[in-house]
Amino acid sequence: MSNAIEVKNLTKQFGVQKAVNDASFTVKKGAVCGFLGKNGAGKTTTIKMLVGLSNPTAGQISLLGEERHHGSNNNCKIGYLPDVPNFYGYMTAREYLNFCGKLYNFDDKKLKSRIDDCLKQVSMHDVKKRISTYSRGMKQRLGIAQALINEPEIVFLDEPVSALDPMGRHDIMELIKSLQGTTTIFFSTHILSDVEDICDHILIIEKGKILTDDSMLNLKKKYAENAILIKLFTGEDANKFIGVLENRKEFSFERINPSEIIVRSDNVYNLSKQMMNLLAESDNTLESFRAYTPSLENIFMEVTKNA
Amino acid sequence: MRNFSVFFGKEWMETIRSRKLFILAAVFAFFAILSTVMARYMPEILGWAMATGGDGFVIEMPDPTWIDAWMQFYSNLTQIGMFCILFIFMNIISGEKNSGSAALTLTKNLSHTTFVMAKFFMALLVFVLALVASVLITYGYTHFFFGESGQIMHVLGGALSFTVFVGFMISIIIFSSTISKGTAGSAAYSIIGYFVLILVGIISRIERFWPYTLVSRALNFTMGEPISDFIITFLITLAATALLLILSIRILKKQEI
Repeated sequence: MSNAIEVKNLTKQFGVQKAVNDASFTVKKGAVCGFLGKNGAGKTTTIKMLVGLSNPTAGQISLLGEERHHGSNNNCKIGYLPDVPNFYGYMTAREYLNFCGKLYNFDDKKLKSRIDDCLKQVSMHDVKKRISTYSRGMKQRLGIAQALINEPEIVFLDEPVSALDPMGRHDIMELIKSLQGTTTIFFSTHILSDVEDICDHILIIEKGKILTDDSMLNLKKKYAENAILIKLFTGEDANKFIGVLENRKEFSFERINPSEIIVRSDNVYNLSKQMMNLLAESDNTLESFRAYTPSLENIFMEVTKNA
Repeated sequence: MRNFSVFFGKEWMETIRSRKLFILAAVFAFFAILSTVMARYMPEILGWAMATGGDGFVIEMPDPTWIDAWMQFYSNLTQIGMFCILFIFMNIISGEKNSGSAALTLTKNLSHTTFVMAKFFMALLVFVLALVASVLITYGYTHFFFGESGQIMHVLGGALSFTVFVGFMISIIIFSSTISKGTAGSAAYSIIGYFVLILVGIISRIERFWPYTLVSRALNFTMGEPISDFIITFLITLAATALLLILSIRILKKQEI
């Protein structure tokens, strides 16, 4: 599979501060790439450079094999949703999409059906009001619709679900998932659970530097531990079990909430056998017992803690 | 070219729905009516004022003519009319940059050149429509009150001269709006530009080469002075307009939106 996005040594400097510092990465065609970072890490600046709205201080960007420059108007194959989208308030959603579609030279018949499809995808097909009356969530939905109107090969979404309610977030995530394989999606967010479900590629940026550039699967493997997550029915049971563990120096443990404990050891196979025995001996009521795999949140915290 | 018409269509929708055309046309129409009526009745108003409060002091005023009506008309347009144009269009570029709508539009299949040129021609069209309406009103009223309004070709010559200058003024507003971050900066640069044009225009040696001459001579053209004597002024103004638009496009292209 060839690359949709290639970035080499991308740097953006504002005065003495480097908002993006020598970033290099590639994203394969059809991949859904989650671009993660804390507030001010450099996500929006990077995306603005990728879509040609900001001029890199150094480095190269290539989209679908074509070099990309600041102010480039070759935008037929890309879609873009900014973090705070703003439209022409005097238009309706349909009028705005009609305007966008005409810029891509769609014929009237195709454009009409494309507008219907896009509005349905973001659950706005029966909204007739002018955009000036929309809530932020509605604007974000329209923003996603306009980013998809030209059937782009790459879509850049900057915080696409930040203003949406849980149902709206779910719908948009499903929409992004449905595009997987046909459209390359590059989206920034700090809602890590969303990324975990749908992304096959993860980029983590912190203080302008790309700290992680890997597949979700590899990251899970890389940060997997010889650990078991034990969940007991009550906090009291957990207290009892911790009392047992404290006498066993071959394990280390961490209580992550009142009833859940992560137990670590060098040998995960022996660990599980020994834990079962200890639980039986200590007469505890076990709710669940499983190998511990780190969540993306854990990985993110681990990656960024020393950056 | 297709995308020019698409974006121009969007600008037209904005002009109608934001009532820009209606506001400018209403202001110009008001001046058209006011100018003729003022020209016709000003001597009588002054005479009445002198008779009632002037302690017997009398000014002999010549009878008003159709020329006075056009003089009032262009005087009003040059002063208040020009500030109306400035007020309506001062955020022509900066408004879209600040709101973020330009970021969405310019990451579509639309060039910076089309973006700026469509805005320029729409602003000019709005002005021309308002001007045509107001010139027709002035022409009709002047004919009604004074029995004549000047030769139609001369009237059109005056209007053309004024239009070419306003085109230049719009390019100044576009340039100001491009280089400034907010509406206030855009308005300030445009007003400074306008006053520089007026003040430098006072120097008679450069009159023929200075765009403001097209405004100060609009009345003369209406009265029959041949436009051909000022072709160089027209050409210089058009060239300056083109230069400012090219600069605006280049600057916008380099800006981070």
